[in-house]
This record gives sequence, C-alpha cells and structure tokens, in this order.
Amino acid sequence: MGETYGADETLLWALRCRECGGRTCEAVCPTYRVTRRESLGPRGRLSLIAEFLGDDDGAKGPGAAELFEAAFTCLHCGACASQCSARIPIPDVVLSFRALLLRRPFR
Amino acid sequence: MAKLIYNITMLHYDMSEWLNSLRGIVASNLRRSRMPFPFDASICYKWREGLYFERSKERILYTSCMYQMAHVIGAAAAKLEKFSVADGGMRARLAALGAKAAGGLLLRPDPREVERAGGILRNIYAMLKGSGVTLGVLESEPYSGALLYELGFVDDFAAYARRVYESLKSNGVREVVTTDPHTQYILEKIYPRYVERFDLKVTSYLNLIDRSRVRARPGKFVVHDSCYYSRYLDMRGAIRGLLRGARLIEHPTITGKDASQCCGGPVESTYPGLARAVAASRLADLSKLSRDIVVECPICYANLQRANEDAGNPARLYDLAEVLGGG
Repeated sequence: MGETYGADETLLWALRCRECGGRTCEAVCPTYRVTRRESLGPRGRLSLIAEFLGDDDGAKGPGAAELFEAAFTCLHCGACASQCSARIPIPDVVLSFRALLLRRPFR
Repeated sequence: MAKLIYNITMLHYDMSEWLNSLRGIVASNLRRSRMPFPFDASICYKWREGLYFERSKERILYTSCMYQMAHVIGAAAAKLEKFSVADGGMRARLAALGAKAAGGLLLRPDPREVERAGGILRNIYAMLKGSGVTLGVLESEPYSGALLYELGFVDDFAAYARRVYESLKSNGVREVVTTDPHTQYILEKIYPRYVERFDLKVTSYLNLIDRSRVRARPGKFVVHDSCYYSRYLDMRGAIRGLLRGARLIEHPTITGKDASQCCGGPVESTYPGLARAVAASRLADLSKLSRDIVVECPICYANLQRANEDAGNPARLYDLAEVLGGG
C-alpha cells in the first residue's frame, strides 16, 4: 500500500469490487462498525467512487455530501484491504479519490 | 425535495469550506514555522535539555514534534467538536471562520502533557543510548507533512516534502531515526514517491533497540497496535519481541494483525464526533482483555485517552516507551 492513483486507475480499482457476500471488509471497518451505514464502509465507499467517476456527464451520480462524507471518514487503517478477496488496495483508492475530489471543481 | 437539495448543498459547502480552512491553517503554519498548527515550537525541543547529542548530523533522532503536539491537536479537536462540521449548517460555517481566526493565535499546550511527552522521548533516547546508538539532532526540526497527505492534499504535501528533504540534505543528514509510526510511514513509504532521488535511510527507533538491553515492566497488558506499524510497516512482531517479559493478552479479532481496529485519530480534525465514537468502541474492546493498555503512537494515545476520560477512566494507558526500560 502507499500508492496514489489517477482518476482512471481509481475507477478501475473501484469497479473491481464484486460486492461479495462475505462482507468481511465491513466487519473490520471501524467506521462501519460504529455507524452501520453502508456508505461509511469499504463496499459503500467503492460503490460511490465507481458511480461518481463512471458518470461522465455528472447527471446521475451521487450527491456531493454523500461523497465527501464517504471519502473523508475513511481512517486509512488498512483493515479492509487485508480482508478483500479481490485484493483491492481500498485505503489507497479512497485516499486517491480524496485527492481527486479536492482538485476537481464540484458540480 | 427542495429541502433535501438544500441540505446536501449546504453540507457539501460546509465540508469543502472546512477542508479549505484546514488546508489554509496547515499550509500557512507550515510556511511560517514548519509546524502544522500555531503553537509555541519551543515545546518540540524541551525534552532535549541536559542530554548529549553528537555534533554530526549524519544520523539524527527526528521526532517531527509528534509526541509534543499530539495533545495540542487533541485540544483543538475537542473545540471543533462543539461546532461539529458533521452537523452542517451555520455552526460549521462559524467553526470554519473561527478556525481561520485561530490560525493567527497560539494554541496553548497543557504543561503536564508536554512533560509526559518529554519523558517518553527521554526514555527513547536512553534506550537507544543503552543500545550503543549515537545520534545527532537538528537545531530546528520541520514537521514531516503527514497530515497534508492523510487529508488528501497530495499536491501541497509533495511540495512541502521536497522542502523538508532539501532541509535534511543541507544539514548533511543520511539517516533519520523516527519515534512514531506516522513519521516512519510517511518518510519510508511516501516521500520516495514524491521526492526525486530520495536517498535517506529511514529507521524506526524500535528497530535499533538492542532487545537484550531492554526489559518490559512486569504486568498484564493488551497492546493497541498502530495501524501503520502493524499493517503497513510489518513491525508487529518486532514490537512484541521488545515486550517479552510482560504478559500480553491477545485475541484474534481485538489484537490480531488483520482485524484489530483503529483508534479513530485520523478523522479527529474532520469528523471529531466519529473519531470519538470509534475510540470509545476501541477502548471498550481492549478493556475486555486488560485495563492496562499499551499504545505505540501519540495520536492513538490522545484519542484513546480522551475516550477513557469520557468513560470515567476505567483503563490505564501507557506509551510503549513508558513500559520499556533498561534491563
């Protein structure tokens, strides 16, 4: 871990999440455990990132508030990555997305 | 629907405004004093009084002022929580404005916490000296910039990291010995990605201590691992090696490498309420195994200690360097 990705790579990693049935990434995510909100867990974060970056015209993507909250509540603790069956470096993907959000003029 | 759109717009406005304010505070302070927040930087060096350091700067002990300022960040976070940005609306805007104003004021450190941080750093110095490690120090030590990177201000971080690197090189530094996990991670793993021709050796003090010359305080402890040391830097085994002699209570889902939980500290400056909830949950889990908790990071200590005080101090927290000593 420790990589920062551009928009395309961030999207590709986010799309690799198969939303598998194990939900082990959520089981170890501290913010999901205390809130029980999917958007504050690894699967939910990846799903929002994929939805936002994959939405070319910005018409149907998630709202700004949800995106900011999902991205900026990640603790970067790495517990989810150790559980991910698709071997997605989830904390790096979320951190890369943060950097993209901060650089990007928001709609 | 109109109300929903309004709320979403306001929350985004508040969060991005808060992040911009935070970025402004951190960036302006780094420019001015090479510290992320406005406080009297003399607290970074107080622990050195009366200690001997080599004149050579080839290998330096580098604190990045993390132990000394962790509680200052904690105090600022407690103030922020009163105007939680997560609440949205006017309170968050006021918080952002207040924070802008606070950028010009000095945060007041608690003298007891400065003394405690000094004791930890002097213990680290003594263990290194006892292990035959000789070190210099920089007269003026810049902060590593870890917070900028962790918040996602990657461009600001990259520019600042280059300045820190140039400063270290101009002092003749070849090896940096770190005292906390954030600084070790950021220098070892992240600087080389952003600083061209980065060639410093970066070593944690934990990897320089001679195991045969230190002994853990006897007792029954549970270890709260730093996420960086444990999962990113693979130092979990080395730390337990240093703690041999103490009785460590382990549990796969509470202290295991893959499943152990974070203290919540990384979001204390953006979502302090969430940081507090995560810390409370973590403290409750750890306390099931032992009331004596060893931490390895000043941010973890500040966050878990705040949760401990909220809960009426059911646990006793120690830094690793407070539990280890000359054998």
